[in-house]
Amino acid sequence: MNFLKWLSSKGNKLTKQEKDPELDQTIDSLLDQMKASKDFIHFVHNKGSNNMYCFYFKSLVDSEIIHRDILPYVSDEITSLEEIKANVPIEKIEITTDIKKIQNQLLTGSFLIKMSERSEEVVLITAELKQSREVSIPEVEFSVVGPKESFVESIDTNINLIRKRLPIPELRLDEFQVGKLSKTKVAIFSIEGITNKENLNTVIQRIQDLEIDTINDSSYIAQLISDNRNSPFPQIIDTERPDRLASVLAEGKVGIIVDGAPHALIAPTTLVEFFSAFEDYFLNWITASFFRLIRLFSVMFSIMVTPLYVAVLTYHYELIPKDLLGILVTSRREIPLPPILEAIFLELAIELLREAGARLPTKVGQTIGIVGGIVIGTASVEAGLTSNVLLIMVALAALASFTTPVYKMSNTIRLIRFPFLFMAHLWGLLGVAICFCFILGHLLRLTSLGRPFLEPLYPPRIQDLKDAFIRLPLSFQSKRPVELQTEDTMRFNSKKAKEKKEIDE
Amino acid sequence: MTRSICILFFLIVVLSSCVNKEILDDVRIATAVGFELAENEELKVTAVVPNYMPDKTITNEVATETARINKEAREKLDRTKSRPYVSGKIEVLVYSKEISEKGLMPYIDSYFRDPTVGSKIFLTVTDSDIQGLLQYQYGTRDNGMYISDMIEHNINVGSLPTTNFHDFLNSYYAEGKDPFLPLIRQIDNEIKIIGNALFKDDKLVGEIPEDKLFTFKSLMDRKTSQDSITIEMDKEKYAFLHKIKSNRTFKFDNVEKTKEFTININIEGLIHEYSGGKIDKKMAEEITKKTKEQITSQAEEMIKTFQELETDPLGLGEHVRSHTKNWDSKKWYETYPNLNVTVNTKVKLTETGIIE
Repeated sequence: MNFLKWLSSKGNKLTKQEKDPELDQTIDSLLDQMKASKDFIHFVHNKGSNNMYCFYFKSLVDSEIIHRDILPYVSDEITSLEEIKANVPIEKIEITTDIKKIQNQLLTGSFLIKMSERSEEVVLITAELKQSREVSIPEVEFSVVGPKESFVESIDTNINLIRKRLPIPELRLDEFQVGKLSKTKVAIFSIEGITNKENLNTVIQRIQDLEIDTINDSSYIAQLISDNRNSPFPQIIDTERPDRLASVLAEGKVGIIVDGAPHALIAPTTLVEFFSAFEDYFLNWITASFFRLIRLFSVMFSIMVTPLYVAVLTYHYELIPKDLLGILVTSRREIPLPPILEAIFLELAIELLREAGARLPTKVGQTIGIVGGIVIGTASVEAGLTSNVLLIMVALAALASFTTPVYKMSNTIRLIRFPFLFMAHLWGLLGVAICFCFILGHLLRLTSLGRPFLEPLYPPRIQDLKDAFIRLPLSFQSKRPVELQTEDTMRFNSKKAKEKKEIDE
Repeated sequence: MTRSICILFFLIVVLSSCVNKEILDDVRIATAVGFELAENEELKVTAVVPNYMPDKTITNEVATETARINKEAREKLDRTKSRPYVSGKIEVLVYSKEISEKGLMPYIDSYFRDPTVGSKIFLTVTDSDIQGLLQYQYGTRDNGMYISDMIEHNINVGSLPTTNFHDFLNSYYAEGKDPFLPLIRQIDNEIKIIGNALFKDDKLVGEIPEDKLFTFKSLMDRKTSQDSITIEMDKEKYAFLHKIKSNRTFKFDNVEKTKEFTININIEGLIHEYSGGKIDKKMAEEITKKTKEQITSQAEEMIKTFQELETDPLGLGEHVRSHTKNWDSKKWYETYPNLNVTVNTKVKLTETGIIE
């Protein structure tokens, strides 16, 4: 930890004293600077008596707007900037002398008009070129039933997707610019009267305080505003489903959307939420609860099965049931490696395949990777490098880790298996227990926006268990989670929801 | 955080070889151990180890050594083998009759001292030559597993009362209760349960033959099910009664004065086979009566034997102790041989089969 501090402090000393380059700029020097770029267009528009000087980036401005909505209205009668503002049928027109504003507007797609060569005052007409991918089906959080739209890279489209789902005036949107170079727009969603002010302010404060040059994705923000940045456990959920974001906003959470990122962030969150897929809410509560339990079991299985194998085979042969003894001994008979090396060999093989599969261009690559894994595994069993019992276990553990709905969490599960494995080799089941205590201690200390990460379990909140390991029917979900400390705790009237109305009543 | 990580790292470095590794395929996992007396009062220990062959068959590997005490024999055996013996998977301990008559405790000691040995393993007594008994391959597995499975299924659905290492030690240490163990014998390449061996403390004093096992189990266990008895009817006709369930209760009041003790056995069963043909209502009553007579007489006779041998496998003393204030074991042992034990048996036939 001290080493990390030393590293970062050393880095700070090396940076030069910052200075704002825009301070001593004039509008001419700014325009000259921009003229160096080939895509910066400047021409003199003269119709009749007046010369008008026009400037814009052709790569940022929609030329159709210029030709249809701007130039035809800038005719010879016009003598002042105010008249332009009055004539041009575009709602976002500004007259300013502020260099900083002019620079920002030009760089986000505005059309600039000056009345004379030397004038300081300019008019800025917004003619932004909006280019974004079509809203497509979610790929990471795919669900068989339910809505099939996912966020795209454009922040406006994403905001639109949320506004459509929550058409209420209370839906509040705070927008900030983050990144010295990238000037990335970051929008924070909350619902007034529901979202806890403290949570919202924490997010706003952390985002305002960010000191970074570029933000390329929402995951940057997620890493930077997490409570504990050194934890392998993600403390903020990212989702690509607008329906999920809308539903958690209604629960009282804070949503963060970043321009250029097709993933929104949700905070605060708890550990169990990482194991609930949004599809759980589309299914009947019994089926949904069953699959949730299977998912939780598979997580435990995925983390524990190889360490237990190593621990039992190295230290605790007494634990093996007598009918299993023969199978295990026969499969290990010809293997020259001790259980730990055998397990690490197979685990690494699977990790390699997963990593290679993720880098392959298509999703097919992943499937081929796993199939390849089984083939390599079978070959290594035949060559006598690993036992086939372990091969089955490792393959099942890999499969089980895929059931985690949030990708970041499944990466964490992949990682924390290894400390367990080493401890199992060192001290057997005792080592596994010690390692488990460390992980549990770490989880207990974790917070998400200052709210406890292990929430319905510790501190125990019986009420929040309604949507943790099992998902009770929707009519039981009438109260917002205690964890979020919402201003309005009631979602709807549970009595009315439970009433069954007959049709002829 | 930094400190705890440093401590952990330190522990890993310092303690990494403190735990003794016993990798599954680098040890010789004994499944059965037999004890008999060799000449000049030495102990002859026979260990059975399953040998898992590459073609997935299991062969029975047996090694014998004589020594003064058990662990010395193991140490001697280790010196002859490529991998060391471990005792964590022992399923059966077999003792010869001579040893049992001398007293079992010195030969059990090393096993209940060892935390890796389970308390659910089986102890047995045999009158066959132990090396020969353990040498022969009976099933497709090693003999430890074979004998253990044999005893286990005879406890579950046969006529062997519940018995294991824990029960043995419990009966041994309890006041007013004596242990018993299953008695096995090798008969022409077969291994067979031939009855129960009765102990007084840890010394063998008597036997229960196999045809009385049904009654013994009904007397021993508070609730039993799933075992069978052949009832001898008159004129060489036999009925085969399958017990569905039975329960046994003790009744006594102020035993030391009255010397009266009552055992009630309720048996519910059905007829699986009858060599006399059709069973009508009268016949069924007849069978019920005969069964009752047979069990009652066997039981009373058995308890007489127990009293003569001054052994108490049923744990009557233990039962009385748990219901009496200021129970005196000395006094009880004086009372026990003269105790007047009555057995009341109730038999109920629920079914006689579908033959019309």
